[in-house]
This record gives sequence, C-alpha cells and structure tokens, in this order.
Amino acid sequence: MPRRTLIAFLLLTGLTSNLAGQSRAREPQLRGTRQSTDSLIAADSKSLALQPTNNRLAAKLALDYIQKMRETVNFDYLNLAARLVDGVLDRDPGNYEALRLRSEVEMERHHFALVAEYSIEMARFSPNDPGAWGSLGDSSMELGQYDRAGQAYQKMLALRPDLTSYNRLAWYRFVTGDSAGAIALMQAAIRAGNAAPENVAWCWAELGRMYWKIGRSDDALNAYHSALSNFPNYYAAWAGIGLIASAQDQVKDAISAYLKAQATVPMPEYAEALEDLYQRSGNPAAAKQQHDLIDAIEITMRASGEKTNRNMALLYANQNRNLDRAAELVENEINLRPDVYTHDALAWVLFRQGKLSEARKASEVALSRRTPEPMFHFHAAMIDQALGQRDEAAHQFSQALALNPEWDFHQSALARQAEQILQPTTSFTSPSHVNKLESNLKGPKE
Amino acid sequence: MRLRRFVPILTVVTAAILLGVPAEAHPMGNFSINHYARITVQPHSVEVLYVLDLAELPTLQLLQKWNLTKDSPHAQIEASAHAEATEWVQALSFEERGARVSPRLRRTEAVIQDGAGGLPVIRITSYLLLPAPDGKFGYEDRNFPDRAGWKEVVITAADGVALDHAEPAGDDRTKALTAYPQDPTLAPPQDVAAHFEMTSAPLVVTQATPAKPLPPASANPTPIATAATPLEPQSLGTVKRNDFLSRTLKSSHTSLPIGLALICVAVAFGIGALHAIEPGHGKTMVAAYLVGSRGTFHQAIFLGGLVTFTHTISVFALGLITLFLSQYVLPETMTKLLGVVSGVSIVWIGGLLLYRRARKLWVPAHVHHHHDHPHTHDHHHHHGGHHHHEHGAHTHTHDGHTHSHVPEGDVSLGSLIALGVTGGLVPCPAALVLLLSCISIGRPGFGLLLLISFSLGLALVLMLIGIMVLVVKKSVSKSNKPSHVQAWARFAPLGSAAAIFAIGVYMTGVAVGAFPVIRMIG
Repeated sequence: MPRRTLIAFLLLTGLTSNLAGQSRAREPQLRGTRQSTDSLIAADSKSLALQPTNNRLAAKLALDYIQKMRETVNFDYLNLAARLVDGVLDRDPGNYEALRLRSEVEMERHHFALVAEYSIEMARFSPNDPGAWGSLGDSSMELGQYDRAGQAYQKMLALRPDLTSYNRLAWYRFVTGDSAGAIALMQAAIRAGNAAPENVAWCWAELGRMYWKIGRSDDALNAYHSALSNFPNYYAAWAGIGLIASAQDQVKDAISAYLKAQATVPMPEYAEALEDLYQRSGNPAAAKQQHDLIDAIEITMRASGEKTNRNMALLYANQNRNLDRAAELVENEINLRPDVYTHDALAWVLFRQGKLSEARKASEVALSRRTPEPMFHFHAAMIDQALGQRDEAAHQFSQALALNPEWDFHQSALARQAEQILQPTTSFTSPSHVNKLESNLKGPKE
Repeated sequence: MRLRRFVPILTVVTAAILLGVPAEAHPMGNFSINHYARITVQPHSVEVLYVLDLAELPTLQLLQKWNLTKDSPHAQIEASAHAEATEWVQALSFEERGARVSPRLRRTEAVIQDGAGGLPVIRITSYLLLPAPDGKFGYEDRNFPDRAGWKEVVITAADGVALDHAEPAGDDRTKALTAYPQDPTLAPPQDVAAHFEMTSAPLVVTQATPAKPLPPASANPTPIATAATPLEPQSLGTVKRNDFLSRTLKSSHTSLPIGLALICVAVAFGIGALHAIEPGHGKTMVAAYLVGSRGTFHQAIFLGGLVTFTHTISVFALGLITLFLSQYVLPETMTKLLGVVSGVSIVWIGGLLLYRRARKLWVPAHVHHHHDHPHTHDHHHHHGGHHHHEHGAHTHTHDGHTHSHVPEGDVSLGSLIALGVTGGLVPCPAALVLLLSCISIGRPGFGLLLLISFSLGLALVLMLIGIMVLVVKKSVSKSNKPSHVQAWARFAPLGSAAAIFAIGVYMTGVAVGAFPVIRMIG
C-alpha cells in the first residue's frame, strides 16, 4: 500500500473515530446512559465559556442547573438557570427552548397561572412539543383544573411515552382517585428509565408514597430502597422510610432515616417528624432543637417576605401553633394554587381556628376528586365530629383507615379509637370523648 | 427534561425564591454548607487551608450541637470550633502514594456574622500541615457529602516546587469563600477531591496556580459575601492548564496595552522554542530520521517546518472543531483521539522503516536490488523527465535538467510528509489553550498572532536540531572512524527506525493514558 494511501487511511480513521466519539458523546441523552449532573454541568459550562452567546449551550446548562436544583433542593441553581434563560431571551426573544425553560423556572417558582398561559401559547405554536403539553398539565394540576390537566397529559403521552409523561399521568390518576392506574403508570415510568438517576429515584419515591397511602407498606419500603439504589442517600426516600418506621413505632429507625434526609435538606416537615420522634423517645432536648430549627426556617421565610406556603401551614396546624401565620400562608396559597392539597391544608388550619363551617367547605373540595389520601379523610372526620355530624365523621375515619390503617402514628391511632367510639352500635358516644382523644394528637399546643 | 415534581420541594426553598434572595441571605442558599480547600505545596511541607462556610440553618444546628448561641463568648465558640474541626479533619483523606497521611491541625478560627433575619452564619477556617509528599498526593473531603453548597479545591505551589498532573487546576474563585461569583455561566464547583504529583527535581511549576500566602489569621476577617460579591468573570478553559500566557490573557479582559501584547508575543515565541525541546514533539523523530537516512540541510529545514506547520494547523483545526463540536465532545477527548491516530501512524512508519532497514542489513541480494534498480526504490535520484507519481512528488525540467522540488536522496517526499504530518498532528495543549483563551475573551486575532509566534519559536528550534544532527553526522562520517565505529554506524539507520517506532509507541501510550506525560512547559 503506498504510504500516502496509508496516511490518508489513518487520517480518515482518525476522523471517523472523532465522529464516532461525537456520536458516543451524544448517546447518553439518547439512550439513557447515566451521567452525573455535576459532570454535565462541568462540561456544559466549559462549552458555554468558549461560546458565551451560544443560546443552545446556555439553555442546556440551564436545564442542568434545574436538574441539580431538584437533586439538592438548592434554589440557588434555579436562580442561575433563570439568569441564563433571561440572557438567551434577551438575545433571542423567540427562542423556543428558552421559552420552555422559562416555563420550568416559573413553575418551580409556583407561578402556575403564568405557566399555564405560557404553555397554552407554546402548545399553540408547537402542538407536537410534548414539553408544552407537560407544562400545561403541570400548571393545570396545581390550579385544580384537573380535566384540562388530564387532557394535556394524554396528549403528551401520545407524543412521547417516556418517564416524563408516564409519571405525570400517574400523578393525575392518583389525585383523581385511580390509585391502581397511578401505580401501573408510575411503574411504566420507572421501566422507561431516564438518563438522570435522580429522576428515576424520584419516580421510585413517588411510587413508594402511593403504595404507602393505600396501605401497601412492604411495597412502599421496597420502592424507597429502590430509590436509594438509583440515587444514594436520596432525601425523599429516607423521609419515606422514616415515615413508615415512625408509623410502625420503630422510633430509633425512624430517627435515623429522618436524620439522613435532613442531612441533605432540612425540610421543616422532617424537623416536625424528628421533634415528635425525639419526644416519643424521651429526648426532649433533641426535640427542642428540632422545634427551634422550624422556628429558624420561619425566620428565613419571613426575612425573604414569603407569604405562601401550605406545607408550613399544615405543620403549624398539626402542632396547633402559629395559627394566624398558618392561615396567612395557606389563604394566600389558595389564591395561587387552588388544588385539592391546598384545600385540605386550608381545611385543617380552619379547623384548628374553630372555623368549622368554612373548614367543612374546604374539606369537601379536597375530597371532591376521591384522592386516596388518608390525611384528607382524617381531617374531614375531625371537622365532622367537631360539627357533631357523627355518622359522617365515622365514615371518614373508616375511609382513612381503609386506605392505610397506619398512615400516621398519632392520627391513625386516634382514628382507630374514634371509629370504635362512633360506631352506630356503640351505646355511648360523645363528641367530648373524641375531643379528648383529639387532644392526644401530637405536638405542643398553644 | 422535567418531571412533575415541584410538589415536595417547598418550604425551605421558597424562602429563597419567591421574592428573591435578600441582601442578608447566604448566597448559596440558607441550608448550604460550602467547602473550600487550598493546598499549598511548600518545598518541605504541605499547608492546607480548609474552610467550611455554613449558611443559616446548618449554623443553627452546629450551635445547637455545641450548646452555644451566636452571643456566646468568642473563646467558647472558637474552642468548640476547634474540637469540631478535629472531627472534620478525620473525614479529610490525605494520601501519599496510596498510603494515608494524617495532617496536623495547627489552629482553627471561627467567624460569626448575621445572615438572613438576623440568624447567624459561621465560617470556620482550619489550618492543617502535612509533610511534603514524595510523588503522588491525593486529597478528598468527605464532610457533609450530601449537602448542597460550593465545593472548591485550589492547588498552589511555592517557588521552586514542581507539580504535575494537578487536578483540579482552576483558579481561586471565591477567595476562600469570601465572595461567591454570580455569573450563571460559571457553575458552582463540586470538587471534593484533588491530586497532584510532586517531582523530586523541581524545574518549573506547571498546572498549578502560584502559591499565595495564607490569609491572615482572624484579626480582620473578610466579611462573608452576604450579597454574593461578584468576582471578575472568568472563562473556564477547555483544557485545564495554567501556563503563563493563558493566565496573562485571562487576566486581561478589558484592554491589552501594546507593551504587554509585545511581551506576550515574545513569551509565546520563547515558549514555542522551549516547547520544541520537550519529548514527543517531533524533534527526536526528526533527528532520528535524518540520522538514519541520507538527509540534507534542506530536508532538515523542510521536516522541521512541516512538523511545525502541521502542529500549528492542528491547533487551528482543533480550535475550530472545538468551537463547533464542544457541546458533544470535550477537547481533551479530541486531543486524545488525535494522539492515538498520530502515535499509531508513527508506530506503523517506524515499523516499516525498521523492517526495511533490517532487511537491508541482513539480506545482501535485496540490498543490491534496492540500490541498483532505480524504479524499485522509493526516491531514487534520476534525470530524464521521469515523474514519480507514486510518492506524490512533482518533478519538472529546468534547462534540460529534471529534478524534484522535494528533498532527494534516501529521504523520500512521502516519508518526509508522513513523518512531518504525523509528528505534528497532536495539537499542543498549551497552544490550544492560548487560542481558546483568546477566543473566549473575545481576542481571536491576538490568539492567532500568539499562535504564529509560538509556532515560529517551535519551528526555529526544530530546524536547528535537525541541522545540528546533520552537522554532527557529517563530521563523524568524514573523520577516520575506527572499524568498530564504522560497524556500529551500519546499525545507525536501524537504530533510528527503532527510535521512531518507540516514539510512536510512547505517543500512543500517552494518548491512551498508559504512559505518563513528560512535560516541562505548557
């Protein structure tokens, strides 16, 4: 073989291997090969540094940041993503990828009505983009517009049946009362897989939550452990394991699991659970520390001017304290996020405030979609018994226990006792008796 | 790709997002724990500045653990911080040649300031000391592995200390967590591990930023950047190297004075010249080939020039390809692939030469044929208007004398081009980073100028080396060599072919990571 031919061949081979390297580099996203988000961020930020005005690279890095935010719950990454998206839109106001990312950013900021507007525009402009239908469905779910959400998710699934569409539809099915369908779809989402391990872990954790709410505790535990296998030390999985252990009165294991979740992100609900667990284990000093941590979170919320937060409202209602603040947080949230969960939180806060008829109305909305949430039924039962509606209360306690007889250590115990008291065959029933039981609910009282 | 998943992410985070982060809030989020390690290699020791900057919530938890508050006596806080740092140090791994080394915690400082809502934030600085490593040194931080935060490691070297393979090799971006860059294109680092190699005979510091003195104790601590003090924007290099020129260019974002520009051009020329002396950049191969063949001065200049030309063109090409394909393939990957292609090519050519020259030595009939039959020889000197198309050379006639414009003799045009191209194919990272740095800071023209200057320096030295080899070779051949020298001289072509083969193997090995890089510059 003449040498020049040889050299040409070698160079061609080198070029081919370069091209092969290029296609390999793209494969992870196409075929689901897993890369850590940190390595993606590092690579994409390097590329962007070389071409600071490359909109596609900026959008890609913004997407990486959003994923990192999901993994760490650190919203500094969301702010970084938002600035990148803003930069792209400044340079190219019609950049579709940036517009889609803007929707994601606004969704994480809980600007649901705005996201719905954006999504409708995007879906009109690009009806074959599954992402547009996905974000329309997401925002509609939060706005309590479930029919629109279901239709949007169905369109998304038809366009792209993968983890992102399956898990959304699963959530819709769960909220609208079809737990079996929801579980099947979430399993399909997991089978579909995803390049980001945390996304799969999140689906496992969601599946665990669904199992738990309908009383399949062993399946729930297995799902949480699968989440941990996919994404080690995943906070949502540890919290789920902690919840199960707490409900089953395995205090030591529950504390251990919640501390692991808290090591990643100190969510106030984890501190709430730990406060209760330390109380139950006879460690009031440690319980006080968790209580103080909740108060510190409140301080940071107030410092940032936060006025909506249904989870914090629910926490305060559970602990029967800071009820004015709880009402402020949940009443503001209901204007922005009128879904069944916010209505349930509102009902629980109103119940604690003694506004029973308003609480009953909010609770009815929460129950209107037959969401298999034991907590919804428990809150409804407590409101009903306070209103003296004995049969309705008994029915709701039974509903909660039928879903999961041990969904919460304190609430399920109370429901079991109340259910017996409120049985029609029971010769003596007294609302005051239930009130006495209710006073056994966890948490300090003001 | 998003999921339906904002639901569980609520309370802690919304504080930071709904209405924006207030000026007092920690810039990395109110539950972040931020890590920083500056490893400074001194001639006889390694100093480690280890900083943990805790945002509001972890600070509260730490003070709870100590049973203290932000208003507790500072001496108590510092004592608790020192005890805590002792535990943290246990979770720091220092390894020398794979064996664990224990650092000495010299002292600890704690600075408490107000964060969001008047909640305290604490920044704890620990000063560690280790003996100087002999060879490979590794570091890993296993504290708070799952908590979000800025995680930065900086490696520096004191004067007279040589480091190689330092990773990470970035600049100090936060000044020990006192100012967090807010440029969204610069991702918060997540470095919790580092390694480098300390050579026993230090020459020049490479791949590490210059040593800076540790910040003063705590007499006047730098305030925590509660409002996220923006740092000067920095471009992330695609090749993590910190040669002088790249650093200079990266630091010159606004204007470039003519004096500095000329200095940079001169330095680029000098670095190119020094770069030619490094192993694996063609000159050994040039020399080996010229020794083994009947090379001329013209051929030496041609070969040196071609190696340089290819070297430079490959940098241009890789720079362009990098810009175009950077979202798909890292430049390091492309460099590696080119390294493999180049190395295998040289192995092939070296093997071919080795085979032919061995046959020439040990098969007399073939030797006769090889020399006496011009048409079987690759580049036989000839007259009469015959064209040797098979080698790509073009011959023509001047005044009735037909000759080629390519080097003649034992050295064929094809072999020269093959060696020149393959010898220069692997783009030099130093040159590449020069070009890319200039492009990233908006000075592509200046980058080209520097690259040309760099290449001229490289070419000059390569040509000089070739000429020197020929001068020495001719002086030896003209002298009355003893018989044993003549005997050995017969084997010179074979040895040179073996050298080319070995160089090819080495370059391939380096490209695939099997052999270490021997490098002094760039």
